Amino acid sequence: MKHVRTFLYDVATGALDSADRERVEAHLAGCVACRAELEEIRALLEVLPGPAASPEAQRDQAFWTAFANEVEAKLVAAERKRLRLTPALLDRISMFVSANRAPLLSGAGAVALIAAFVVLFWPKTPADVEQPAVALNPTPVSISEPAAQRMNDYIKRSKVLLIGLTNMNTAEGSPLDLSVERRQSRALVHEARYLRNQPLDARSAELVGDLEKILIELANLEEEHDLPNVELIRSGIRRENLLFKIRMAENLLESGVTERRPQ
Amino acid sequence: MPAADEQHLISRAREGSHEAFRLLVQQHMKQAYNVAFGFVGDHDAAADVAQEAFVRAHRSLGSFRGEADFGTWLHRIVVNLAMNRLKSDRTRLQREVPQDHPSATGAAQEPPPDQGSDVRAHIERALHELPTLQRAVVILRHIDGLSTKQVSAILRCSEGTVKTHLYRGLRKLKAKLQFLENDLT
Repeated sequence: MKHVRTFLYDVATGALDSADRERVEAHLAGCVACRAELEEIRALLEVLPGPAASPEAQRDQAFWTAFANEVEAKLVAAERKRLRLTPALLDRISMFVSANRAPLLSGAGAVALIAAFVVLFWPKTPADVEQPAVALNPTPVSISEPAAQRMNDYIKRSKVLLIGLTNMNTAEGSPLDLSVERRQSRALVHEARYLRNQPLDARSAELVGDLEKILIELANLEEEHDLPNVELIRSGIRRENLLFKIRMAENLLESGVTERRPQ
Repeated sequence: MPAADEQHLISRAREGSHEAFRLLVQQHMKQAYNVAFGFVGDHDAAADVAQEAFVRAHRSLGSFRGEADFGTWLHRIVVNLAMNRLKSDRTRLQREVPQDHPSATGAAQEPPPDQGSDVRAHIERALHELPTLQRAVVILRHIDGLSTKQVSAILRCSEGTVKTHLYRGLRKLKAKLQFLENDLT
């Protein structure tokens, strides 16, 4: 049975179970030390700063508005950091692949040769024989040669346009003539509509969709002095990592690697 | 807020709704702040801890299974962060304070008589000198006004353990506040 002292907190806070009350009270009636300890705990509980002294009450409404805003800002910053890290890593991989394409391709060829050897000459167990054959390679995406060429041109022209826009001098007072960019954007939006109907791989389809949003905004810019919207488009290019995606698409198109678009 | 509404907000926040998560923040920020303050005893540090707790909660929403309610789950994060902060502060202080200094040896620091009038300040200081778990249960139960059942849910221990720590904590508190005996009785 537990010592009565372990119940003193419950006695002091009035939370003692009725099953234990009789025994504890009987003990307290005859034990001076426990009674003294109980009184000390009661006295201490009385002077403890309670919920009425909540520190939040010392803060005004402006503090709480700022508090919620700061939490939101921290979440956005954390999300941005995460998004920045992923493309940065992919960018490095992409640059590595570009710089080492020849050795990588020869390495990939060697791996493929070994894999083919293993598949053909590995001793087969009965289980292997009984299992139905599984197609290891998905059906390749069948994009026609002209469509592939148009996709290639579309990416290159979009890249030139976006790099030009990103590097455009938009200092205060500089004349801002966007007529060429708007014309090119309209042509590229038209081209995107054709490409969307082609059996593109998933990555190319996503890139066409992302580019189209920016190109439509660019095509709809005001005749002149639309600097705030140019800045918005530039931030959109950065946010969507469009130049990085274009570089990736170019690398993949050159190496002939594509993946199926999910149905 | 009804549990069903809160559950709906949690589901929306999980799907990426910042608005839903902001509502959860607004619903729980004051209590999270109070809990944090009870541990760190400083307004700026309490705001830091409470905000960080919301950021961690947002990051972990996917693993929130709803076994406890959101408030209890959040309090657990606040308590863990606050205790970690105190531990690191203590480690830093131990490195900075000379070994023969009274606070480094753990000796109770009795204030000079002319500074002993503010009973409340002494109690708060004594609270912060308690061992971590004892301080946690005393603060959650008696400063934040949570029930022993809620405290046990936050600290993931039985109610019996909470009461034992409460009893021990209060006894230590009494020993630390011996010099205030006349005021307490």
